[in-house]
Amino acid sequence: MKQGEPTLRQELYAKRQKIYPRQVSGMFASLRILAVAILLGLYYGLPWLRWDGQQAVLFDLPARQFHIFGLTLWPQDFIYLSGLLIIAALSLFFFTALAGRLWCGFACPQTVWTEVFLWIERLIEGERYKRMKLDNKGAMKQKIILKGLKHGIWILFSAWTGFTFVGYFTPIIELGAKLLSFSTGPWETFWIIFYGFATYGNAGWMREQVCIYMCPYARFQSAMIDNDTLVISYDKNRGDPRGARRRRDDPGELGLGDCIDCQLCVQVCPTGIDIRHGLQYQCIGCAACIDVCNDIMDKMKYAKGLIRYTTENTLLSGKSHLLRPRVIIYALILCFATGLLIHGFTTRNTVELDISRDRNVLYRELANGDIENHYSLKILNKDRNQHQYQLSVAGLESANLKLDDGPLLVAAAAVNTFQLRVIAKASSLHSSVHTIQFHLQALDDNSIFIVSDAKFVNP
Amino acid sequence: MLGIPLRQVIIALIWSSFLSAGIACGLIFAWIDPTVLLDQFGLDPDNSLSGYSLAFFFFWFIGIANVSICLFFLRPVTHSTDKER
Repeated sequence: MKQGEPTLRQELYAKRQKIYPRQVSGMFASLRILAVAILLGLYYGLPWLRWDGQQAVLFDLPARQFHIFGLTLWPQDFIYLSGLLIIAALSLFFFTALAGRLWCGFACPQTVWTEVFLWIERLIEGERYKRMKLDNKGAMKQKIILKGLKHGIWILFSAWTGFTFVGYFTPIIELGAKLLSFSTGPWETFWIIFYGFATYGNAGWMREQVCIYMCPYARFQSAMIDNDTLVISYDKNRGDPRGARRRRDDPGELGLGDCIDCQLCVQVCPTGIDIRHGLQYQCIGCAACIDVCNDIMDKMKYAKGLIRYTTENTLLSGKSHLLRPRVIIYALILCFATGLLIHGFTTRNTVELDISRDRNVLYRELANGDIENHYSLKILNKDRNQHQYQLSVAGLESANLKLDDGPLLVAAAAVNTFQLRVIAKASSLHSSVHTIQFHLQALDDNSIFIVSDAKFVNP
Repeated sequence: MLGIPLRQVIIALIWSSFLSAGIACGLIFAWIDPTVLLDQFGLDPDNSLSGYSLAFFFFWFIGIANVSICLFFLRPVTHSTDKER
């Protein structure tokens, strides 16, 4: 950057103003509290649930198995996780096209944790004007006590959040015991602190900046929104011209609209915008402005809904249709993808077979002239039951199987390795390498089978 | 720099590489057991959490390096030789 330029550039950006969201009550605020209670209840509660004597939800990284209520997912099932993510993205498209940023306002972790952090802040520092007063004119001693207490509680809460997070990857009861005796492993300690710090930073300090700068969804949500999407809007026709008035005044006589310009919609906004300027990308759709404006409309004895969920088309022409090609197409793709995932998952193969040749010895010539190849057989049983399997070989007429280990028995959700030899008559071998097929079949269930190719090498 | 606030540059640098490191870890460890990697580098293969963690930081570091270069190249090219402008 050249000299002299910075002053001009700096002025183009207003410094971030700290936002002091005012507390709000109403239908949407209650819905959000309900969402926060359910989601955080799930987050903090799930790792403590037990299922069949083990943690119900455990992403066991050392064993490379994901346990979800008796269901075990393996790395080979990664495709289903990808499918789940695609479905989540499609649902986001669908709901955004239908009613804007419902996710942001009610379910996003950033919103959910910020709500709790704000609640703690309010509890200690008081309502909006008290917090502003403390920041601007508060005595140093009072500031240190109140802010220290607030940050202390925030940090404790964040640490608990970090502990819970790691508890999804390490059995939480053992982790708790280790924590109490200060004997957690270095990486466990690190990730508890890391995740706790991220929670503290994002919900305590960053807040709306996460939505504005870090969230990719905020940037591209406009691509899913059209004039028939339900969004939070200020009814300009009804509200303008804005102006203060006494309750008994007739706005018509004063030449005013219904907006009394009380600024409460701005004060409650967690991102600090004025919804009366129209839909802005900073709006996270939390509907706090709807709640507070409805309160004011009640007090003024005006009809509710000066700020409300409505569509651009309704505001312009009074007509709107929610069921439109975009919504229908999103819904159809969503249903199709969900169906595909469910079908794929319920009919997934519950056995995996990995065959590797012994690389040290290409082949062995037996005393009777037969050729022998040695293989290592890895059977992964993804099912919830133990199975015994039968192995057969095809692709080479004279091939004979010799299992060195006992029966091919694999416990539920386990991997076993077996040693195996294939012996073929030299007279039946016409080329130096033959492709053979191993068929593995569960003895007790015809639907569980797998075919795997391997090479047979001879002189 | 680049005509955007500094905090946005920092977030672009750290956050985008954080996300890609997460995706890279998910993809790579769906195929590779971290114990194999740990063994390769002479580290304790029993502590697989360190395998996941080190790989994550490796990818994060590569991501940050990548975005840094990208941000460097994104700086506007000055065509004019007029220093007074």
